[in-house]
Amino acid sequence: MKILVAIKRVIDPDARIRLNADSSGVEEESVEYKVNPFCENAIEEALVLQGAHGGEVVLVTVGPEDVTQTIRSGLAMGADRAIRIEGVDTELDSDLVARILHKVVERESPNVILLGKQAVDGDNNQVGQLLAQYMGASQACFASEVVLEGEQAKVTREVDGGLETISIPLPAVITADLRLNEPRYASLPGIMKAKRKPIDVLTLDELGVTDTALKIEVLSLELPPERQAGSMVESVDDLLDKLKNEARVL
Amino acid sequence: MSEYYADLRDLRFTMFDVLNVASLAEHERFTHADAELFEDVLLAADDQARELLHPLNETGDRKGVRLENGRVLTPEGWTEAYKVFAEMGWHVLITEPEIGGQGLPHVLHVAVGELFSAGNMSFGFTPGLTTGVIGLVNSFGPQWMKDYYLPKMVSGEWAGTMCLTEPAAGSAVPDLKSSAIPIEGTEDAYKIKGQKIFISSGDHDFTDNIIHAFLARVEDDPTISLFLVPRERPEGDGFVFNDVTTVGIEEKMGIHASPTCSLSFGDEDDCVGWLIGERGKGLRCMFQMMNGARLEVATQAYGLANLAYQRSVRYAKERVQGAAVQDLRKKDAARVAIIEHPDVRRMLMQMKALSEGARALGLYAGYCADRVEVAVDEKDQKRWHHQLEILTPIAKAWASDEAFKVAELGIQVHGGYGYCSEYGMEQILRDTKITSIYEGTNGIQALDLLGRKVARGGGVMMMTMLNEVNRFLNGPLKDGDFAPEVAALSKARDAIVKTAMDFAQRSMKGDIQYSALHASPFLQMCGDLLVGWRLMEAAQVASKRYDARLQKIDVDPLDEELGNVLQDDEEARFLHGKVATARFFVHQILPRVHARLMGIESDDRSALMVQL
Repeated sequence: MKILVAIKRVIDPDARIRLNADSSGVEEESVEYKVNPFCENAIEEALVLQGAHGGEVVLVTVGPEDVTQTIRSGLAMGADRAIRIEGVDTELDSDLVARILHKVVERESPNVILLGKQAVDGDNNQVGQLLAQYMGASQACFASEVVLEGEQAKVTREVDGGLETISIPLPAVITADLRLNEPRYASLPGIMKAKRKPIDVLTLDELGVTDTALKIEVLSLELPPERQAGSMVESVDDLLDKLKNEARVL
Repeated sequence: MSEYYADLRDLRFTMFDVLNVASLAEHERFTHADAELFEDVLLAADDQARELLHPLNETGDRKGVRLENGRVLTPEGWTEAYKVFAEMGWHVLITEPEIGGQGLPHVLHVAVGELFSAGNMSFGFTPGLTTGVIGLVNSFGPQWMKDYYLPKMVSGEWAGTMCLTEPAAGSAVPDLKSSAIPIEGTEDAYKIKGQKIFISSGDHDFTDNIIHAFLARVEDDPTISLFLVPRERPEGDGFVFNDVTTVGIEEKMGIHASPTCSLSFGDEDDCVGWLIGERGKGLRCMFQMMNGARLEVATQAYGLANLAYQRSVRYAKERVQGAAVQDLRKKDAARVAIIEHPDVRRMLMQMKALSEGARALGLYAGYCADRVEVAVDEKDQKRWHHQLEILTPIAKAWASDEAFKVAELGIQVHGGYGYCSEYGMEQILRDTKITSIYEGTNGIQALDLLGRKVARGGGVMMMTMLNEVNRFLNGPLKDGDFAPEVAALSKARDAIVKTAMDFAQRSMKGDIQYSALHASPFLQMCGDLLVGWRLMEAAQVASKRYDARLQKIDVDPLDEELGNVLQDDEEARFLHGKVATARFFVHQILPRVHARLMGIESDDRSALMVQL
């Protein structure tokens, strides 16, 4: 069983985000990065599946050299090795990432490809679906339970209004939801071992990705408006009036 | 409502940029500990402090531990968290790789200790004590003991404690009454009997077995021996209760979730212990554990102090109250956040300077411990060992005294809300207080500094320490922008040298009492000097980087809008803050050295003469 886990780093979700001078992107200087929380669920699930079925867990990400820190934290959790695709993480969109991953899948021929359902920075929720399309493989997104049975994966999905359980043939793309599992912490021995685990570095050329044009152009970003101070109302009638006529929620 | 914050930026700056800890990896002992590993471990510790430990902090404080049917029960969720924490291997971070530890540098242990303390101080006791007992057994225990006990403690399956204090033997450890009688037909087994009190983690539901490092006197020996006394002792294929009874747990001011136990050993005459180290050498062995533990107390203290500062500075930026002092007479003056008020800024700077100062000293002490281990020759080894000896009592006492004041200021900045429990500020104050009391009260630390460290060997340890300070004071900084600060530090050093000479002369004349009376102020003076020195070392590095940073972002240092630049540019703000903190410390806090000198020089003996 070979499991490929695509991971992404995001700016620390608890940190204050600042925009760069021309509002074309997020200020990246001296920010702290973390593994995207949904990706941690994907890594955890891969390790659980490996525990049950044996095999290898391979991490893959796209980014410059300093993304190695993020990779190491995944290796410290227990993944066996990693592949870093040289690239600038801000010069990507979901489609290009999916096409890059498709090439990695062709090289590695994994049985299962696990991803987080979305990254908490862009909130796009597209890479897993696009990758499945490029691969011509089955997909099961928003997984809250994964069971491997022979050449099939039985996946419980969190859909609107409840759960849906589907069975799909391997190889397949599965994207993790938060309730899939509780990601483990990296232990100290794990952290020390991670430093000795191999991280292959590939360029887009080496991988055979020639078309790097983006399909999405970001025009501008803006911060959410600052929260305004609330006001006190005199009576319940005033409150009802405001709810009806100002907020229009009643 | 109370939140966890850590200052990873300052931790990194102090370790990497000021101490250059990454250079430790050049030595064979620490080849695996490069900058990358430091960073990974630091981030992992920060995650665990925030996600695993801090959520248990408030309930731990409110609910505390309880004693039911002779066993201590910890609050809900604590046992599960302990298992996760122990599996991570945090308690064997500095333990030798040969027995399953990570063999990482002390300075990293100090760094993560601060984060765990800020996350949840009460949680740290059981792992911390286990580290100590592992060290004792590994250094002094017989081979069979290592083979049997170390794997279980290294894995975190069993925990440790240190049992020194007895009802009539607190600071005066040698007055203890516990006894050990050799069991005939055995080599190193003894019948143990005695009462121990104030035993942290003396009993709990984290582990199946608890291993006590126990001080007792064998028969009529004048000196004390050290024993390993398990709660459950191995017998045949299983275990039998080793007659260690939990008599009670203390109701305390703080650290409510840390079980502080009264234990009774050998009530039924069925308690067995095994000698660790040589008979009669127990105190010496125990001191190895104590020295490490004293540094850990310093990290506990400034971990909480820094947390108090982090919460206070955030609160002061949010809490709007009153108009700016320069606008008070204006009609309809805008209401401002309290951080705009000079008196609030004064308090915040005190908190920042004291907690960053204690951190700088603690990390430096940890770094000294590492340099001892990688010393290339005897001279080098002495250079670092002497400093560590001097620094241990100072870091412990100075950090814990000042941390309590920082905690108090934290309440003050929060005003009435600080006095209420909502923001968790009063818990910090209650938890911090113990740090000036246990592991040797700060009074004991002062006597240790004066009697065992400064006076010994003609003052060679103190001279080594001051040589390091002098090297800095005589360096290039004395003529530049920092000339006033260097001059002030030099004056403080002179005051300390003068005091030490004065004490030496008095003790030659047989006047021990006067020096003992002033030992604590002397320790505080030394702490002020050494902290000032460490903060100025940091300022020296920060100032260069600050200039480079302004150049990089193309800002004139005299720009009128500099305030706005600093607000927007985190890096410039941090570096500017390091310089400001050092200056503030040297000009606003360090001068108290001279007030203390005046007190000592006064020859005033009223505290000794008065009948109270």
